[in-house]
Amino acid sequence: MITIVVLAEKYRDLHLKNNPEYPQFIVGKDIAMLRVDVLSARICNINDEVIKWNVGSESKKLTSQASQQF
Amino acid sequence: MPSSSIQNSHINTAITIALFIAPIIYLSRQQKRIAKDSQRYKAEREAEVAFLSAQNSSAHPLRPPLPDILRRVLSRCKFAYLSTVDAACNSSHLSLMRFTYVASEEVIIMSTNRKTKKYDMLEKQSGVALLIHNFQEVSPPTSPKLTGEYSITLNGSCSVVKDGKFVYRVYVELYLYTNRLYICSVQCTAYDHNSCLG
Repeated sequence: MITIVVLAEKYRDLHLKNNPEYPQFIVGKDIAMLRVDVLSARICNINDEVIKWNVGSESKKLTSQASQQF
Repeated sequence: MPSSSIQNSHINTAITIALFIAPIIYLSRQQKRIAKDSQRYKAEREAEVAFLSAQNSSAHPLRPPLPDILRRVLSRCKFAYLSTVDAACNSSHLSLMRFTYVASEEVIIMSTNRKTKKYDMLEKQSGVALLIHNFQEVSPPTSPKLTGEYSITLNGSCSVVKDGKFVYRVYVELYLYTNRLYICSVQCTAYDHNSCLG
């Protein structure tokens, strides 16, 4: 699937829609959009029960290739 | 009594009944919707608790896609502490950020002014950590409740999204570990029709 988009603006619109009270941190010529590709995660609840997750080595390689191109 | 006056009296009665009944119908529908939503949140929460307890003892980390519990907490939360590497000072740096979780791409997006310390650091070093806690807050009855019982730590690769046109290629491929369809990579390249479509 190939689509032509202005990615930074797509993300900016999404982010602004999710945080309409903070346009001063989202819109402006000096404001850059950041994208974090998640490689690993841990979730913990109040009972100290933990779940770990990670993308694995194959996906990690693909993710790092993708993020280098932004 | 003239017929026009009877007609007017009927119209008045109809308006009065409508004005009386419409709010009752509206309130009753709203109540039903709230009850349905809170029932759904309760079921989701019970499923989350059960999932976390069941997986807790597992020594092996889960593989993609992200489990529903993580997706849900990330979708509900908006604040994160962003940790970046301050290589010059041989230290780390923390920033409070507003974020948006893009579930379709499994990425976190944030924004920052380019004239900041964290931006300079991110240009040098893309490795980041994010701490997210679903702080309990008063929320409208129609939105998901933040229960204040989960903390998430994420590690990832942070990149500055360049402005301008991009060809956006989504590869839906690989049955990764779970044998389920998973969007494993979102690859963007500078807009060049020939090279990208070739």
